[in-house]
Amino acid sequence: MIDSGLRHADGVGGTIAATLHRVVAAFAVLGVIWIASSCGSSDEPVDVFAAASLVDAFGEIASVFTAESGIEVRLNFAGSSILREQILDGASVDVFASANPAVMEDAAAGRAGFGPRATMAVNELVLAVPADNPGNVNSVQDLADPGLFVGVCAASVPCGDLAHDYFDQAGVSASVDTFEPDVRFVVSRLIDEELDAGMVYRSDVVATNGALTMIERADPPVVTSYPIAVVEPARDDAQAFVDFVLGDAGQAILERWGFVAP
Amino acid sequence: MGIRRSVKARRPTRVPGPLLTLGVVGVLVFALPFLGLLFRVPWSRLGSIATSAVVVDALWLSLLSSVAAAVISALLGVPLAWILARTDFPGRSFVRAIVTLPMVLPPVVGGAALLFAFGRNGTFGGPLADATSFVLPFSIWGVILANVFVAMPFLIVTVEGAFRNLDPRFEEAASTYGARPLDVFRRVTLPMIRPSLLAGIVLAWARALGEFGATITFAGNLPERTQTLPLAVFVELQRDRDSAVAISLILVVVSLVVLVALRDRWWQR
Repeated sequence: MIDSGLRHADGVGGTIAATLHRVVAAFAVLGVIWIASSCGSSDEPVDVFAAASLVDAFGEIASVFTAESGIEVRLNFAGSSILREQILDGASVDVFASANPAVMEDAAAGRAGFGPRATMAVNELVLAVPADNPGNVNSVQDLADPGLFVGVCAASVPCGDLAHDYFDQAGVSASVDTFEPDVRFVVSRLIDEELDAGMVYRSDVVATNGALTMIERADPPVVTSYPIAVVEPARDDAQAFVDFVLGDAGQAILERWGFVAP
Repeated sequence: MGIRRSVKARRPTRVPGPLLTLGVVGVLVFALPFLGLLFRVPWSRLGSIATSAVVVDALWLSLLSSVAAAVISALLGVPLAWILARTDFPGRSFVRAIVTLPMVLPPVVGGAALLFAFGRNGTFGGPLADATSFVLPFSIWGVILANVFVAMPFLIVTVEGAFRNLDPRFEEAASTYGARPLDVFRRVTLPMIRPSLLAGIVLAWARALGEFGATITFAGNLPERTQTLPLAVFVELQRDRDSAVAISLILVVVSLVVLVALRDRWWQR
């Protein structure tokens, strides 16, 4: 009885140990494959960090660029200042496109190896509402009404600074209900009709394809320019991507998504 | 038996080498990030940051909403835990899975689900807004609901375990002497699980204090109204690193003090 029980336990222990060995071996093999694959840097995709407002335009640019050149692109979208912090923390990045020059210059000042900056597009902050305008918003002056749900970007991202400029220029003290991490959060809350009005880019209104209505543009317009730069080690693939963005094809795509040529 | 125990007590347990190594690595996983945080603390600016309006407002809002969430969790979670522990009904394991799901769900998913259900345009929030013009998102009520959603499972799990380990003969005896069921629950059951109940409330409170994903997704981010300490850390990380580190330190210290102080009182028994 005891003997067989012991042997049984031993058998189970042996099986577990064998399984463990197999698992460890499998991980070791995977690790070697992974290391080997990341050494072949010629096939490594170009890491592009781009402002959240570029989601649609850069998505299309990247797929056209890859189709034409065979160079893979890995896109990372977030609020420009979130990307800046990632870059300053040492993230692996080949190209940075931010939604204003100040964020770009901050990043370049904090990390060596930024190539020359080129302005690739201009965008404009506008007052937008859900397509059926549930809050019956007619101008930015209406945003002073505390009964309306109003969303803008946090002051830490470029679109937040622009919203501040817009309100200042209009002389309105807006009753804001939420400061979102990037412009796309404002856009999705507008589409969900959780918000009655929000300050977003003109390109966002274009990108949402009718889900948002632009109510008003500032006069003079409140604009920001988008710089793009290659980050060291400047690979040919990265420069090719930037050249494509600045070229006719890239500019045409940007324009189609509501951006204006610089 | 007695002899063996006394011998054991005199000789300190010898930890096998591999266990010790892995154990130390396990501690480092937690200790190194906190050390990293400590090295970044701007000690000279700490006082002015800790008393700035952003931090004071966020701290007050965090305390208010997390305490409210812990109280609501206890009010709803204790009866639920008792039902789950003491009764048998079809679908009980499904109910238990539903009410503990937020423990493993990414909070941002919870926040999105709350938005689809209780948003102004949500399945239930829409009719509510039409009827009463009461809207949960962008208000402290939204923050509290998000906190309850992520925190109550910790209380339920803790308290249900206590109910299960409780010898039912005490309650049976009380019933035999003529106590009504609700009185038995209040006078016998609850006092006997008091340590676990307090531990569950504290766990739920601590979880609510640190809540981020569900809150920002469901309740938005507005200083003085919905910007709790974790949201303030997130915003400040992009603007003023020193400030973010200082707020993080406050969160770590508050949580650590509570966990250490309460561990000896309630969990070691």
